[in-house]
Amino acid sequence: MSAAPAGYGQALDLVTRVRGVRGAMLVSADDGIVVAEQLMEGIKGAAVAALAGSVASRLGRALEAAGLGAGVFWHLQAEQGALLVVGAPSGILVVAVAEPDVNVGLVRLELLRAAEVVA
Amino acid sequence: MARRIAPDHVGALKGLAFLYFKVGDVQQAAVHLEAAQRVAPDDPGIAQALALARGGSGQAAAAEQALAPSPPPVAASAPEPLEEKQVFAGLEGAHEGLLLLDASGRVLGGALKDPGGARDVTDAVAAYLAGVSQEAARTAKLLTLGGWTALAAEGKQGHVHLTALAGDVLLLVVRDRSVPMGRLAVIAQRAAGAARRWLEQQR
Repeated sequence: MSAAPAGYGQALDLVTRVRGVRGAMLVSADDGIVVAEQLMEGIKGAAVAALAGSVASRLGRALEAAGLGAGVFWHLQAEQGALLVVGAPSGILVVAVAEPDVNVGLVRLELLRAAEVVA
Repeated sequence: MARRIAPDHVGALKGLAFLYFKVGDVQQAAVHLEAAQRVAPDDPGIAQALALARGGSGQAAAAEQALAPSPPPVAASAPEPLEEKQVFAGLEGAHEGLLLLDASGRVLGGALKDPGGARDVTDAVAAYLAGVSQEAARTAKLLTLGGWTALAAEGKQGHVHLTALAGDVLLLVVRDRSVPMGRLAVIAQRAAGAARRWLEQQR
């Protein structure tokens, strides 16, 4: 596979520099494949990307069915952390894995900025 | 391309099986479904489509439907929804933005309307959310995050908040964009309390 464009690294840096973020990924929304990643050791990026893509797709369809328009931001909350996702217009999902006490608002802002970088 | 990069990608395998059904090649569809089942043995959609594929070409249309990207409607087999006043009595938006459903997308209580308030979207939204809790649980497990507690989504015209209650029961709260996501979480917390009390009473 060819190296990821430099802009992808810049986008991931925006997200991973936030305190409490354990890693970030760029994922193809269509097929759940990892485009680029900066993850802590031990995180199964490919599997997480596939599942994150699938959850985002289902939620996106539910939002459309509810008449709420296209999905912008998704937040999976768990007992010991969170998964946060923003969709870029280019069809790439920007995904962050975070600690439970992370500043969600700040991560959301950086994810949106990262989505602009990869747009 | 996805199969070349990730040969075990379940979505890609199911998609290829769907396309083979489309062109009438049931044998190749079954081959891809078997590969998908090796990766995701618990996926009921794959098992159903595979059983139909093995039933011969006469079942191909049904198998194709089982694999189709849009989920099948569940309303026909779902139990009659309970009146929302029994579950969400007194809560803000109980008649148009609160929904209690099981992991299969069957409605237990509440109702949803589109932002205009004219169209009932309860069954459509419930159908699309079927399976989300299983995928959320798998994602959280893979990330060693423990059990998942909630899933919030922000849309261009509104937000949704999905809470995991006991026994695979899900609570969905929907509001337009005038309600910030933080406030939506508070509303969801109150509604979850009411729903848990109601579920306890049913046991």
